Amino acid sequence: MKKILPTSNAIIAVISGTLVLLGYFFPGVFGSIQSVLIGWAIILAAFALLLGIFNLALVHWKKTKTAGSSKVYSIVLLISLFITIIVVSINGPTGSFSLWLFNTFQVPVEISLLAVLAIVLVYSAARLLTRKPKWYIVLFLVSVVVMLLGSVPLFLLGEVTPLILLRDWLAHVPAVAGARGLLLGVALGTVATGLRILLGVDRPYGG
Amino acid sequence: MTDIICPLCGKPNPSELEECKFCHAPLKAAGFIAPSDQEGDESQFISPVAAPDEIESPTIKPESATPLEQAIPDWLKDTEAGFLEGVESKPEQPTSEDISAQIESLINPPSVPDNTAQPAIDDDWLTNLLAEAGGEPLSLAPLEEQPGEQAEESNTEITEPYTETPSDEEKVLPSTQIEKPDWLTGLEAASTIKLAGEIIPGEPTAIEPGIVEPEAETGLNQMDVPDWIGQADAVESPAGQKEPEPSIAPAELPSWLEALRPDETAAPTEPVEDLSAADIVTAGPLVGLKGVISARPSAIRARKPPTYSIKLRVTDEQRARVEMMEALLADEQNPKPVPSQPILTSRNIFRLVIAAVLILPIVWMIITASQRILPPQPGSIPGVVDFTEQIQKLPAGAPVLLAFDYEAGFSGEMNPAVSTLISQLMIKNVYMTLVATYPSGPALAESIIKTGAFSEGIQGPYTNYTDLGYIPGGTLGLRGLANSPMAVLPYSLDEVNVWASAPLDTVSTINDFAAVIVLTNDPDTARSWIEQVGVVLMEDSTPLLIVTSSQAEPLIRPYYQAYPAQVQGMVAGLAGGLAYGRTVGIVRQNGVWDAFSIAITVSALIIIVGSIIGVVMKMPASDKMKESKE
Amino acid sequence: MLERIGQLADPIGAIIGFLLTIMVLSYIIGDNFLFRLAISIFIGVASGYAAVLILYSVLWHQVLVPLSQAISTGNTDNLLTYATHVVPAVILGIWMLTKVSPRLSRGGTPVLAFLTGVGAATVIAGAVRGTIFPQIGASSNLLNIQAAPSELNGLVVWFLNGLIILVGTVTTLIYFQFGVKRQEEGVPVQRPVILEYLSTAGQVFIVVTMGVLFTGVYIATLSALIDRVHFLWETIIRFF
Repeated sequence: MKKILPTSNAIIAVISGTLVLLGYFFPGVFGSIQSVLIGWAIILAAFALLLGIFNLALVHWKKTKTAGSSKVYSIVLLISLFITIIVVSINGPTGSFSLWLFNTFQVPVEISLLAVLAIVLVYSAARLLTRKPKWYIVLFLVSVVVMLLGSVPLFLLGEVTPLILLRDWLAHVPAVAGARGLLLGVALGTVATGLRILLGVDRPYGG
Repeated sequence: MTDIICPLCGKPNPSELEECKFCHAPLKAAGFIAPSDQEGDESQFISPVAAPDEIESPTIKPESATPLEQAIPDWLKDTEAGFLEGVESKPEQPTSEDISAQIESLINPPSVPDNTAQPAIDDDWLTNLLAEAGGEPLSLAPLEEQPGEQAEESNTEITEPYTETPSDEEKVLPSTQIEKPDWLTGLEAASTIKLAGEIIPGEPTAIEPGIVEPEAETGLNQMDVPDWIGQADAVESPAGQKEPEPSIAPAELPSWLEALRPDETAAPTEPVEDLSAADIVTAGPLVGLKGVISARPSAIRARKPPTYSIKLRVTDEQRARVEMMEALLADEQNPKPVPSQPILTSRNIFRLVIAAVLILPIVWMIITASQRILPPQPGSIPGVVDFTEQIQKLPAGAPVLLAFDYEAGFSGEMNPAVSTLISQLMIKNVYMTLVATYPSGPALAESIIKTGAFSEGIQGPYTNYTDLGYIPGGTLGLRGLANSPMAVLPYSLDEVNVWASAPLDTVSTINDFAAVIVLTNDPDTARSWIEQVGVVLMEDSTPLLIVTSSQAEPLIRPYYQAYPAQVQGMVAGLAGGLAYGRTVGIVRQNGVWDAFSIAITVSALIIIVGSIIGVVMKMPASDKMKESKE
Repeated sequence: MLERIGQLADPIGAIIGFLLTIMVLSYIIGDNFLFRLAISIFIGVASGYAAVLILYSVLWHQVLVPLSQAISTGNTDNLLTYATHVVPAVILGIWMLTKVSPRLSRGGTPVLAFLTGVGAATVIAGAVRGTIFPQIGASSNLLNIQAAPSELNGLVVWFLNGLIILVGTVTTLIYFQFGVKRQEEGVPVQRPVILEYLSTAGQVFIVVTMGVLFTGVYIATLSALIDRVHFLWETIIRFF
């Protein structure tokens, strides 16, 4: 039984993946099957998200029963979770109270987190050369400084045309080349990983 | 007629028999004397650890010095002589002639033809022993004859030895007290010292006061030989030895060795077991010994093996160390509290300084609502022009798919572009069909549309749109949307079947939308839209437009700059949004662009200055390292 | 009452937003209780909203509403579609919920296997059709003379830029090629010299791209910082 289950799981993954892939290349024959399978997968993805949120609540519920100062945060999290569920369930996702909750609590905190990141990023960039300076670190910093100074008119200096031209050239030529190479590399890696799953070599689902 | 006692089974046999009639062991082996030849009840051949008052015969030596005898060292002979001289009382010993004959027979065994088989049980062991002359003395006295203290300390794990109750037959042999020799007590003293780490009282000389002089003379307390060897040498030495042996001066022991000497003040105790009533062995190699375990099988009673204590003997010091180790290990299991780090460290101060240098100019620009810096020109931002053209081409009332796939945290950067777009779409009366693959999408969309409607001066709620809600599954949801939007999103969030009424009743596939506009901050989300939906849109040349953040722009640009282009228009970041706003005539004067300008300038300066400081500070350190290496 | 609440909601929301912004920005000084409290509230609200939205969008609109409408209107035209598209998915979804229990966790693996297989096929097709083919085509069309500008200066610049992009794309891909030929024992394993040089060139393009990406991220975060400062100032003005 222990050997049958992993094999059957792999067979399920291979067959379902193959049918979906064939739907791309032979839409007339396998298109409808592909639509059905993808429809099932979308609903299953929703169940998976609900499972994740339930697990989050469960973990913090268990934390509230342990001793320690960290359980205060878990209590606050659970209270805010349940209040939000109640309000949004009654008012609807786009109701006024739901939007008030969203705009009052979620939006300010998310934007503020990003704002703090700005300080951290500039601090890290300033300290980059305190380590052993290598050529690629220097090239990286030069690219950053040129991009920054060329993206906006400088205060008290105005637009510095050479900087703007250099910045445009960097963004449109070498950066595009590097980005295109990265995208191709990512796509090739995605194809390789996906094929390994479809051939049953990799079984990330735990089979 | 006297009987011969079998040396193996101990049963009496007639004297004329050559073999024991019970066990068939040879009765008349070379060197063994029959009990009938003895006048007394005492052992003749071997007189091992006898009581001080019984030992009296001097060492016996053979008249002729055979090679074996020559091999016996002088100190051994002297020891035997000295031992015997110190004895107060001597037991009746066999005559020297008999003993010498016995030893002679042992030293020079009768010649045996080669073809004759050696008896299984013979005296070879004894000849080998004598051949090794000067080797380990026999362990004559069993441990149970030691004084009580030594017995306890060295034999705590040994149960009481077996002592056979002598039967009537076995009471033929006289019982003699066996005195423990000095060498044995010395060995015991040394062993007990090793076990307990302390000097144990009970020097052999103290236990056997009768033998002090020989030990004092010889100085060799640890290596005494049994009496029978000593007596044989003592008998022969007066006859054979012409020259007086030089006495061995006592060795001068070092102080540390003296310190190891057992304490002589402790008085010996009586033996644990009284062997005075025990039988004396009259035949065999253990002739003369008392309390010897009989070789008869019946003597060895089958019984449960003794249980020995497995308790580890540890001292207090060792126990204390063990407890310390256990405490250390237990400490490892407990999580150590993280020491609270001081808030004001050099790193935090540096970070605070950078934050202050960055934030203060921004605050100043916001407070003053500065408008010194001109907003960016549309032509200077690639993609904005194409984007604007595509929006302008949209027919009025046409359904447009609008995907709110950006996180709330990026609304500060993207809201200028998004609000401008919404307002443009409202002006063109385009039917906005809102979807989202992010959970925060529907709420963001509703907020933006309400704000946009308000800014356009639209009275009442804006109704020329529908919010189809959230599509789970990421890439899977986009594929499903590309295949059939109706199947994936059959109802709007208001539970209305929008596909059954205008204008979405004409939409069956995604290509039926006039345009697909994706609002996203994530390059992977944009890539998923391009790969899953963009491929389908390209079949019918439906434009795919993207409003994105500055962080995703470098990775979307290859799609925009491709030929044929996979993305027909792109607005990126705050600069792109302001440029697009300027294109359509919407200019926001709230000091944001000035603040952005000064913040970028200050940031570049911070990075340049920080890098120079880092290099300058690194140089002396690296010089020092080079000097130390040289 | 609701009107009054609605009128007060806006200023109360502004004050709460102001406080939450300060609590999160206090992280500049260091990790503290206020920051963690704000994060806990944020996670709770975001998770709760997402949970209800999923229930609304999927389970309610795709599973229950069609069924209730079919029952109420008696229209069974779409019942077959519903039975093939929705019912098996719901059954599979309930089956997947066994993953919650450690004891029954293995029972939900076939559903995850199905999800993994479908997802893998989708991304494979998307990567091939959406990125690999178009981007390789775009790289090859960089020097397509039909797209070249007519003027000489523009032509030279266009050609040089196209060449640089083509070389950059190829050398970037070469940088990620780490395969080497098997050598005899004792011989150091290394790539061919020409590949090493091309890989170094690719590294240059990657470093420049990383610099551009970092700048984009920093600009996005700086925009958020400016937005927050602007919000704080607006709130202070509003109440003082």
